[in-house]
Amino acid sequence: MIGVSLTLAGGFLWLFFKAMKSGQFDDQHTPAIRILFDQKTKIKRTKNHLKKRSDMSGTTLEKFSYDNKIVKFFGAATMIWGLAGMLIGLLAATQLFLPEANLGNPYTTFGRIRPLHTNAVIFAFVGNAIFAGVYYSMPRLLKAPMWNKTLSWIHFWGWQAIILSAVITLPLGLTSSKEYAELEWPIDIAITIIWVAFGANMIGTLIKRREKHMYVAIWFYLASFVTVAVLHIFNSLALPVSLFKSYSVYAGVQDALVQWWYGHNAVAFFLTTPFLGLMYYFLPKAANRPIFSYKLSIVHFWSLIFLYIWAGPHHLLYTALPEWAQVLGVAFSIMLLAPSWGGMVNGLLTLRGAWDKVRVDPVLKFMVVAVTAYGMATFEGPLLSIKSVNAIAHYTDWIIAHVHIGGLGWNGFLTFSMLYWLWPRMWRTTLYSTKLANTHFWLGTLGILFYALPLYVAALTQSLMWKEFADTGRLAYPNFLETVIQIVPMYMLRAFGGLLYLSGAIMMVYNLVKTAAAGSFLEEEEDEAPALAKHVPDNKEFWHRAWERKPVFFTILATIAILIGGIVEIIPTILVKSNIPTISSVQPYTPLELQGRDLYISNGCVGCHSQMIRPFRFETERYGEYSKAGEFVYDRPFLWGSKRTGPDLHRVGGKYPDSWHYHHMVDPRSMSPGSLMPPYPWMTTNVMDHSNIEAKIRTMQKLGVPYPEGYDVKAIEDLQSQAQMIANNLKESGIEVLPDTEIIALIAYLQRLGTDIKKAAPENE
Amino acid sequence: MKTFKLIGVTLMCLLMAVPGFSQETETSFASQMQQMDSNTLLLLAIIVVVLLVIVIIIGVMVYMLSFLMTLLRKENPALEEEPSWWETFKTKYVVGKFKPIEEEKDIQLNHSYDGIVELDNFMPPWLKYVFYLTIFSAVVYFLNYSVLGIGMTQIEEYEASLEQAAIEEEARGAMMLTSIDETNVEEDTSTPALAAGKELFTGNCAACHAMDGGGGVGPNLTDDYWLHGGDIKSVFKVVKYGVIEKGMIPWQDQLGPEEMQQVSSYILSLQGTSPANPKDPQGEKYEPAIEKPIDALGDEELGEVPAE
Repeated sequence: MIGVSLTLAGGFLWLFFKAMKSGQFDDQHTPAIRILFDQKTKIKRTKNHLKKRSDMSGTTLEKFSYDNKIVKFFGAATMIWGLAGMLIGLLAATQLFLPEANLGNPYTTFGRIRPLHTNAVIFAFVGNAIFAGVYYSMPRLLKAPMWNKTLSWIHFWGWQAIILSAVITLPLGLTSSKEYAELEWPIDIAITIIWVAFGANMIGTLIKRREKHMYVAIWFYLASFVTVAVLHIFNSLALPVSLFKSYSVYAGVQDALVQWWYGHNAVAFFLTTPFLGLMYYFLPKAANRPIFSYKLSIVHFWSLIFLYIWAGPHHLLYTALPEWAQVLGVAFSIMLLAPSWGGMVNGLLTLRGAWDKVRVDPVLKFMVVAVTAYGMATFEGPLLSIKSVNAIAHYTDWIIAHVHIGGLGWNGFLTFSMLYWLWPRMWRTTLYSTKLANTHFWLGTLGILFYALPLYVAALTQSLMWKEFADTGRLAYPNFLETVIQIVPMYMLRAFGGLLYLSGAIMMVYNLVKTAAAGSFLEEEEDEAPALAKHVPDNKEFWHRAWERKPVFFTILATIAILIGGIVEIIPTILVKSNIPTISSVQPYTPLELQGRDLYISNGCVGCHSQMIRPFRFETERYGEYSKAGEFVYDRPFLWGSKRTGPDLHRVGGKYPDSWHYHHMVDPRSMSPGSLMPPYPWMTTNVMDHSNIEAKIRTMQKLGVPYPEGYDVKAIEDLQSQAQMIANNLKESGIEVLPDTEIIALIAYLQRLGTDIKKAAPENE
Repeated sequence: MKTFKLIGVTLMCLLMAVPGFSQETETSFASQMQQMDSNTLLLLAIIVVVLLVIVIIIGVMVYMLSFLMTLLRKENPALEEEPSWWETFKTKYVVGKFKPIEEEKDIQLNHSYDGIVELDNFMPPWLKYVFYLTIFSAVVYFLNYSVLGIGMTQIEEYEASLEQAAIEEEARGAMMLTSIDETNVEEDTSTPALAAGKELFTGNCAACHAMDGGGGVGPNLTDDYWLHGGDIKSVFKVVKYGVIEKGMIPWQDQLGPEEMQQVSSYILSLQGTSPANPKDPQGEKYEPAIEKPIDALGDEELGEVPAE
């Protein structure tokens, strides 16, 4: 199967090349509506075109108008959420060197703030920027207003409502803990509905279009829409327990694979492909230059969307994921380099002959850095996917630096350039201050450098410290904390970089508000174009050109291209038993442990603590036996984590006494001086609501967890007796705490972690 | 354009050099270097020197050739017309043929979208070859690790590293004769040992037992009362294995035997000092055996603290 898929992949690409080489574009019958850049040529062109067309069908120009108001709203939302998301990011960065910045309450601890930051910048800042760009460029590229205005506004307000609900639920700890998909199931359903509304609006516009062929930007928009829908739906599949709690339908290894299939492609199809579409519209517009190569667009579009979807497993190298899936992930990540760079090359070469403008125009300056940052991030990506590099970089700040090169550089800067370009045009004026925009540019660029460089240093330092063995054959830095304290100064520099970047963004908002105040807003922009003409068959038509005038066919092909990778990787992992060897001693969690686990999830502990010990001697020396696939079969969701700001916890069970955990949770620095972990003193007094344990056990049973029949009603008794045992145990150490407090459940879970396999050891020997 | 070329070349070098990133190869390389005797090292040095000389000679020859070519061209105008092999190579495999901007109209495609036009350029050759190369590497990578099974799986890699560690451990064991454990540990009251012990105590133990050993979460270490015995062997044992049920964590994974000896010795050196907030005595009174009088403690360590 794997062999076949690889051959298929290779064949597919080879076909593209062949077609590309032999392809000649004979395209005389397409209406040549070349509206060039100044008014004079525009009129000339139209006349020209009319002359050409009149002898075929005698069409006249149709008048219509573009809705700028929705663009204004999405643009404004981009700015507001952007500032909010960056501010939260700055808070999170500060918490990493100043634990007091956790502000002493559960809602603002790092574990809950981090997903808020990622959701805000990805879905609110970048998301609104995508919509602003699409709602501006798509009607103009298709010479038709967006299909349905009501739908546009449902989309706008629906999306803002979703973001608002994220802002409320994430600090409350209502989370599924799956990265970039943290929102709970009711919000997931809302996202699906709003996303479909967006897609329907796009498809409607395509049907009503006056331009026969779809421009490359539209290809990217379509592929993004389809893929994000598929990813979101399949990754979010979960069985609800209550309104704000659900359990993933996938467990352990499978959940990990599905999550990173989603996670990696959220980066690909939310942060990359829509932005490539935006680049293909706004860059040639701003530079007033033709796109360098149409053929390159074709090659890099199809290869990018086909290859990207396979690369997810590179987030799980050296884990318990079946090795064939890991190797597939690496192989496809390597191949991603050239298709990604295709976008950068096409962007930069489009600027050929416009470099003199780059020096003076802030819009182009931002674009050049954005495209370069994209090239850097997509070079780094394949590099990080190679197993030996990944062994160093995984779990460290290298990954954080990498995503911020992409996020701050590519997404941030392209968004800024787009807004700087849009605002004066929609308000029919000039930018309030070019000087301020240039200052923003330099602050932003410095911000990226100050953000990324210290983190690269931090990552390498820490990773080398983790690995280092002393001459005695033991770890040189057995205490994890030593490796953290070492990199604290780098964390401070990183926060400084973030501060620079944020201040630049504030300048932009001020600049654009002033620009808007000086101009007058054009709500409806008039345009005219001839109606869509019937297609006249042409034998010489270039094959891809034919696809471009068939949106439905094109979308189906793109869907097939993105489905293959996921199907080949995910289905065997779920269906073939040998991929996850079972371990007989691994048992489901007790009710109290399950409660503790949910507490662990809701506090976002997974943001700093992994639960996946890789098979390296330096890891097994530090943490214990490496993690096995069979140990995670009852983990819904999986909690392997992707970053170790704190140590791995997979084998923490039984390692420390209950009282140690108690003191450590109340004040981490009392047990580990210098620790960066936020204190959780409220856990000793907060009473945990165990009334939902029945529903939880029933949900788990439905998902196939082998609790005995009728256990749901007995669960509470077991829960209470286990809680009492832990409370008694703590009492012996002189700690008085009620058995129904949160800390008891958390200790129960932590003490269970990774211990099942130890029970098996004597039997196996 | 030069930057692209540079990036392309760097990329190729990096792709080829990746095995060098592996930490396993690094360590084994270092250990191999240590194992080599002087003869092999000499041989290695000679090979390196010879290779360097060859590289230099090739460089000089290339330079001479290009110099000759320029001379020849000057003399023969017909040759001057012909592009150099480097030029041909460059257009064919690296940057491709670029139309000057003035002639762009010739390759402009016959369509426009909202004023955006596209050129009929080919994909830059260097990018195409990078793509071919990555596809080739991906196929080789996949075959190597999956179908053919030549590359080691992660578990095989791990087991190999364990074997290597076992060999190293054996070598160390042979050198050091015996290592310190709870059966043979002895109190080390030398000044450097106690200083090292103090540092370890401050970093690891003070959180529970207070900086001056007066106790807190953990028991007072300065009085005569001990829960698990007050001789060096018992203290060492408690430090090493912990007393999980009482809240003491094991340190054997974090501290080496010598370090545990140092910190245990330091703890015993605290006997009889008066801490700021002493915790009430716990456990049984421990009578030291006659073999080691308390007076033997290093005075310089306890200078400031008057003995009871």
